[in-house]
Amino acid sequence: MLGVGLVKGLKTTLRAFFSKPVTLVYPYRKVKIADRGQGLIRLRMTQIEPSPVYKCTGCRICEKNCPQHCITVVKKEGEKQPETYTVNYGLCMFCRICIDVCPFDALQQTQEHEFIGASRQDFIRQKEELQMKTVYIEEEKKEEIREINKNSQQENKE
Amino acid sequence: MVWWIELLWSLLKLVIAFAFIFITALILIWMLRKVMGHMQYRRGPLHHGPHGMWQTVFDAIKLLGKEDIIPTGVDRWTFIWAPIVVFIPTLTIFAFLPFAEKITATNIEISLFFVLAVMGLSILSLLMAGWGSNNKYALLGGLRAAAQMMSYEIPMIISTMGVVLMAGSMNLIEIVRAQNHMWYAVPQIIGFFIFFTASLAEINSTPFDIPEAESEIVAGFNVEYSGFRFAAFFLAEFVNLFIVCALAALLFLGGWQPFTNPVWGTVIFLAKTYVLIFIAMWIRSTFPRFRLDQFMDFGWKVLLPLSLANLFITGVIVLVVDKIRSV
Amino acid sequence: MDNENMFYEEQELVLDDLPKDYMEVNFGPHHPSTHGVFRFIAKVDGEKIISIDPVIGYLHRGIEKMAESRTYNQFKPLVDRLDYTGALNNELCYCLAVEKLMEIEVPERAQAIRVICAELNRIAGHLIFFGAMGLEVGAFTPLLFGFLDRELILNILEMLAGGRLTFNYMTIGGVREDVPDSFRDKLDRFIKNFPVKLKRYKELITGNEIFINRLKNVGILKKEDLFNWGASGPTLRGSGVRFDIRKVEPYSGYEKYDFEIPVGTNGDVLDRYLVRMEEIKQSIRIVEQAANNLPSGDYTAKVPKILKPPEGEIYYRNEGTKGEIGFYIVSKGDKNPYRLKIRTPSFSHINMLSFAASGNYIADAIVILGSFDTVMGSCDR
Repeated sequence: MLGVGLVKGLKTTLRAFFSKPVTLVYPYRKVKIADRGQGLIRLRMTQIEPSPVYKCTGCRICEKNCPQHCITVVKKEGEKQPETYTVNYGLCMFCRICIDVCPFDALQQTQEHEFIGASRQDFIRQKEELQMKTVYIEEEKKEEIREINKNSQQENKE
Repeated sequence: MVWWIELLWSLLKLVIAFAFIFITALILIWMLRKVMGHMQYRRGPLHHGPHGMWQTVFDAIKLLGKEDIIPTGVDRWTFIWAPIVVFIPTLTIFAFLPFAEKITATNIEISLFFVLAVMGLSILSLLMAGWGSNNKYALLGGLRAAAQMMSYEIPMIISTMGVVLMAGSMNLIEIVRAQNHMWYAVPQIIGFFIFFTASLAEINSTPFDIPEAESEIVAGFNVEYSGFRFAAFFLAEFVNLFIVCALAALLFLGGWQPFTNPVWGTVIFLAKTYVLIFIAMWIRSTFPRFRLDQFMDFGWKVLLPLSLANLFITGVIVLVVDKIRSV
Repeated sequence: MDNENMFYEEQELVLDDLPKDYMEVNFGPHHPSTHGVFRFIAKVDGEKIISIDPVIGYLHRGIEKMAESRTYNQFKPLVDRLDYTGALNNELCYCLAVEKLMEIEVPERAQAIRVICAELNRIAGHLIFFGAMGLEVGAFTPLLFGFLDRELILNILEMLAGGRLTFNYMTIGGVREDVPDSFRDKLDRFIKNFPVKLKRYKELITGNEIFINRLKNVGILKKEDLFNWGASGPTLRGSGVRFDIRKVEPYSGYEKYDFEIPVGTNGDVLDRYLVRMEEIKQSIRIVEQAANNLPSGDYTAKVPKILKPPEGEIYYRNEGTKGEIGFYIVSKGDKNPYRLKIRTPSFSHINMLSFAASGNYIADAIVILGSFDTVMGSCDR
């Protein structure tokens, strides 16, 4: 009646007991995320140092197409840059429609996924917090992505 | 002058026994979490202390600090006394367990009989907890517990009778002394298997943890308890595990047998107990649980006839061997 | 007559005016064993169940109403959130429905990539079923083994699509991005290493006598009853009905691949469990064939930026992880759909619970609910 099947089950667990555990001790060690992983969406910059120059011209196409209505853009007449660019990350579902429809390629997806806040207002980000850390260069798009990963991981360790 | 020194000495022995129990419960809970973790390819608690040793201490302190909630409509007397009654059998039995030749809190002539009789009292506390909480889940759990524990006591007790027949006495120390040639696990292999299985059913450990089946009646009779009352039930379950494995080591595996020295005897006795505890936790990580009617079938139709057959054959063989020796 | 004396006259006791009813136990929305937030009220006589009254709607988000104020492209990320254990199958059904309405031709490379994603997601969904089934009968270890092996699949999908639970990878007309460079190596390593894990599951729990005794001859459902209640998927195939939409109405290139459909004999819980375990093996076969013969070409068709389908209506169905998923779209020529209705398998299966579990023990009712493999995001929408 009760026999061989039970003993085989016990053998499987004993083998698991003597092998190495597969978990990582977070937060001392982290898992590497693939290049296409969904994370925070930032604005691309063409110049950072003397004064920030965004690639975005404030055309508001992303605001019209966002399904959750989480982007708000304010732009004055005759200027080349938006005055305020507010994204509410409490509502965003990371669907990347804004990246797909932007005609100027002004948005970039990073792999940062560890942001916390104490209240709902902490998730509303303005355009200064959403700058990319490196400058966007046409030919070297791939270089830029790897720079971002290193910088954001160094920030997290501090 | 003498009587109060004796009183103080007995009180001191009891206090040491209680302290040993609580420390054992904390060690066993940590051991279960680590063993079950490693069997599932993960680590258990890791951060507080080396390999997470102080995790259980902090958990117990946390449970002490929680609010004491008594729901409306409960039967106050049974609800409040159930976590206290659950410790009475365990503490009583603990006073009789011998750790080495001379190390035991008390000793009487029929200590095995007394231990098995007192173990039956643990049904009462589960019934009190089940009835006293004003909750249908608790009632189902308590009634299941009563049915389970009453039906598995009989095979457990009968399987120990084979050992008593071979040793000729009901004193635990005498039984261990009589195993100096061969441990009783070898001739009484069926009795050992039946005792281990029935005692796992007595203490509600998987695959027999029907009273607190987590997937159907969430936590069974425990469901309305929180804070230190819950900690009492939780600790009592692990102390029961220690007691049952210690009894199995004494009756079937020879207790402290190769060594009569108190220190080495205690060490080897604890080592045997912990091997059996590891086997119980290994079974707990692997097997699913029985359904209630299949479980009753197993107890009444398989274990009881096997234990009666074991007793009969042991009696016949002991009688024949005695006759041969006296001739 | 025997109690007659001169002192008093005895009144007859009538025992029928004591109120009698069965005990009602509420298995509430917070429960470790109902898959998601699901509540049912069971009338119990001791341990046997007399009837079950399910209450659903705790996860209702109004997805069908939200579709009327969003365009077709904006609605697509929401479709992932229906059956979140196998999200790519939902996206596939929606994209195929809209493509049929607008008569868009999908290139062959995109079709093959879609098949790989959908089958990998089916394996991931069945591994969750395996873990949850172990938990329902009381074993803690299969859950962790199932989730551990699911990590292998989710790493592959993360490399391809970017997400691990909700992907947003397929678009109307194809897929969003092409396959990366190291994808083929990782997929080959997965195909080689995975059958060892299946053997380990068989040793751990499928061959275990306690487990088999728990599941055998429990919750037997006959073919006629299943047709009446609208069952589909592995629940239907466990009772001997050889019906799989991938073979009957093939979509997205399934007619090119060679695979079998496992079918059960008795209709009890053990058969439904074994059908799903066998489907995992067949899915690995499909993934291997699709990856070996990946055609070259475009990964998406040319679609206009603003989609305006012609007037009309369409119902399209496909084989999801748990059964048949169907989309019914009515369009009046605008940017937004006029009405969009979603047919999910979990809604039909949950309503079968009362019929299937009456007369069994409480423990059996939980196991039967686990064998239907419902997920509340799909039932409540």
